[in-house]
Amino acid sequence: MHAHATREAHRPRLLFVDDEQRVLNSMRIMFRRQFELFLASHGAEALDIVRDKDIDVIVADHRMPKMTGVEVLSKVRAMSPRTVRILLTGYADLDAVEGSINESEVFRFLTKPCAPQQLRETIELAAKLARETPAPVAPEADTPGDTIEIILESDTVTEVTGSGPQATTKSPSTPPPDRPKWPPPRTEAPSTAGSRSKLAAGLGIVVFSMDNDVLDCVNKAVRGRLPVYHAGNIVQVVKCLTEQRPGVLVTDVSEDKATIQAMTARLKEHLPQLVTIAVSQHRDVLDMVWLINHGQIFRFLRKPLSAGRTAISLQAALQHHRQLLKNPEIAKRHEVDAGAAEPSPVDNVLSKLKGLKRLWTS
Amino acid sequence: MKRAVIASVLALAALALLASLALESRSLPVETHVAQYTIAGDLERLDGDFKALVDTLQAAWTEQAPPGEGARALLERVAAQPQQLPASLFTMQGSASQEARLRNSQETFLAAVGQATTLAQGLIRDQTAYAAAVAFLREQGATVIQELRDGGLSRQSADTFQLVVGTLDFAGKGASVRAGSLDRLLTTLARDQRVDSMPKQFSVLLDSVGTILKDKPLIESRLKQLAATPVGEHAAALATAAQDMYTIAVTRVEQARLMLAVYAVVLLLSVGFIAWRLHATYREINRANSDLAVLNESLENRVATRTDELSGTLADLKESQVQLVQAEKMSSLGQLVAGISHEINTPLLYLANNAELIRERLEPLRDFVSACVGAFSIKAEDFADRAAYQASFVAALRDVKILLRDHELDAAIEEIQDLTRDSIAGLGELTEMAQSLKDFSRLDRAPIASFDVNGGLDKTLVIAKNIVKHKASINKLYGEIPEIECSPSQVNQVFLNIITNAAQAIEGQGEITIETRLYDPEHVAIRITDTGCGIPEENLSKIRDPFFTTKEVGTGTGLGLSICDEIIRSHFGELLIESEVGKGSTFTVVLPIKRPGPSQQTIGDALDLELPELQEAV
Repeated sequence: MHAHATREAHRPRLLFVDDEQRVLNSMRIMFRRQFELFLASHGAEALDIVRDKDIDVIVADHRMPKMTGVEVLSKVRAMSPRTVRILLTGYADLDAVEGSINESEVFRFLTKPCAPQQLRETIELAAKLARETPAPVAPEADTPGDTIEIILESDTVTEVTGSGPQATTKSPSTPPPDRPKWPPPRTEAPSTAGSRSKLAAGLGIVVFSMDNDVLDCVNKAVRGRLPVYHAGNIVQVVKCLTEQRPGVLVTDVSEDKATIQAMTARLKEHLPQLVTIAVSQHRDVLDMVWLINHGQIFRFLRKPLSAGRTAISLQAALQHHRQLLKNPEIAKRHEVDAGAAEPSPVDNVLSKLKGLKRLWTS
Repeated sequence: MKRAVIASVLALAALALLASLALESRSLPVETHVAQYTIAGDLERLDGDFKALVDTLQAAWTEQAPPGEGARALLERVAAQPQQLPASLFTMQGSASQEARLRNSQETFLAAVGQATTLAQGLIRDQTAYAAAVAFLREQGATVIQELRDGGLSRQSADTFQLVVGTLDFAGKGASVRAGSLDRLLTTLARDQRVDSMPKQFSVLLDSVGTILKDKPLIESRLKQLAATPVGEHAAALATAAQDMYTIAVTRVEQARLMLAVYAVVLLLSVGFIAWRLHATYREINRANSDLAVLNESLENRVATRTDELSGTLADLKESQVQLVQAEKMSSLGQLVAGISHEINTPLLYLANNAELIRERLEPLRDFVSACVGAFSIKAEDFADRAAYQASFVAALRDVKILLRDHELDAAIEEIQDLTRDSIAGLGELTEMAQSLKDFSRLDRAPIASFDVNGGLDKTLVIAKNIVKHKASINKLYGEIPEIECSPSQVNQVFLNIITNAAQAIEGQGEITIETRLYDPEHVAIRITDTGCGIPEENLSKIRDPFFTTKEVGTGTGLGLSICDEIIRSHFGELLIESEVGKGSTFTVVLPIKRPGPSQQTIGDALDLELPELQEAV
């Protein structure tokens, strides 16, 4: 009996939420041997279980009475940050997908019907990550506030304040000959970036978009307190990442979808600590689901951007990036579904990032 | 109003002033003018007569003759003259002082004439007597003296002679002082008169002498007085006064006329001004009218142009309406598909999963069965001794047992049973869904067919299941109603739309009641009541309008209910909507049992609101 209990304790805890009893039946039979299984037929019941049990993985249907899957997972994200969240839904509507990114920060977005093998593999991977990686800090709600300032201060105040004068002479990364194709658009930005570049690695934002509005909006949101780099192509993105080491990538996925999606996926694969915000003119369910599963994008913003929304998202992204820097193990939780990604011409360009996993810590 | 009153008052005042001025400027009567011209002559004539009278009297006096008829006639004319003066002269109006002056002049004149007349009458009488006395003395004196002489009365005769001569001398002389001797003689003789022998003519003689002596100074003074009477002056003064009065009256009339003329000019000017203003206004109005006409014309042109444009726009609109109806169909279709997709994908998920699981569970079962088969195929003949046979059999059985235990095969069988049971149920669900979709669209039925309303509602509820099930419980109150003639796919579309709206109106959990009953012998009614948010009264009238929507932009085209209304009307039915905010809404669809109207072909044509997309999709 005791042995049985111990074995139970070692089995990952998996929670299914679905209003269709037959789905739960099927899942129970499928996973009961590997997992300590919990089943809930609606959101409130699921939240009760999450509160009581230390659930490793939660898989939720989206369309349920009273509380949608996205709502359930958002609450779980706040209640139990270590629980890996997966959405499994029969019909992916746009709001569900956007919510699963921005509110629930799901690990995977699966659509019914889902191949049993894929379902099993995904859940096993999720369970493994939940067990083997440290829990992220409970997220703060995306609330407006001067988090950027707080981040800046907490990160730089001790070492940077005194180093102002020599900062200019000791320009961080010696500029390459063809250097500033993406100099920070703000005049004060280079010195700011310079003065704290060494210490505040990752405290920058690279914007990859051909749309000036996106860059303007990011600049407006940042208000010159952080360097903002503009990249016009993938080579520049890579160059910027290696030289300026910004921690947040804002990428426009409206145009040249295939390439940019592939880039986003590869970047996350190679640099798990890089936090990606996707910006797009269109909301396409398939693209967004792809970006979740293969690119682990942190936020999805619709164009035209609002400065407020952008600022909030950037703050959350910077905070998240800081957490990933402090505890790189957490970044493993954002393991992308690399296998399914087709080989892309950008792979060559991006391959040089492969060895740079310690980009920000060097 | 106030202005009109002021204007009328002003006009009345102007008229009153005009009337008074006209009254003032009235011409003097003709007699007045005539009198004016005759009075001078009359008065002159009077003066002449008067002077002639005086002359006559004086001439008679000088000649010591009686004045005669001529004097009398003159006197009469003079006396009658004042009465012949024209009265109109003295009724002229003027200032008080002028009137007084005229009146004074007249009175003075009349007094003077009166006085003169009285004097003249006295004179005529006295002069006649005087002339008679003188004549008696002249003619009979000698006779009397002779008789005295004859009578012996020589002294008396001498005295008488002296008296007669002295008296005649006195009378003839211009002197007015009479001799005292004559008075003494007269006194003496008067005493002698008592003598009987005196001729009878003697006393007459004495009287005549007395008359002459007494009257001469009197007459003379009276004649002087008469001659001095200022009849002419007064007549002249009267004439002047009358003339002045007349002049003033004429002047006043002239002035009034001038004023009238001036006033008339002013009035004319005012009228002219008003006329000018009116004219200006009319011109303005005319111009405005002509402008209006021009405008009208251009408007007509513009209307024509606009009509052309509008026709174009209308065509465009019709085009876009078609597109919008299409969009609404696609939108409701999209929602429907989303629901149906979820409803289909869920069973598919567990069906696929279950199949995979059954396959997985069957593998150890197959091993188990083959192990059993292996165990049972151990035959005693194959073994040399019974112990070896038994050992082998036991080993085989142990393998079977291990398989049984390790793979929890007993549980696996139960699981397989569960999985197959669920799968069969899932297949049933999918079949029902497919059947409902087929029935819902009724592709295999004629456009107009006999339709079981309750069955249609059930099928619709299956399709709407995903939309409804999380929002509301369904309360079915189906009545026994006959089948109706209609286009099943369209009527189903109406049901789906109303039920979907009902579900969307419900916040949180609610209830949808679907009731069918006979409305009247020729119609059925389908009442769909929700416990949703209700429709505000101001929206109730607009709710059937195309494009009216309270849903978020992009989530509805606002055509759903207008299409429903259209469908119901094309079925000769009626859509009744009642609602109370906060309590819910009731949509009642009333449809005829027998389809009235023309042949089915034309009805089919009228119903081009089919949902071909839905049918294709299904």
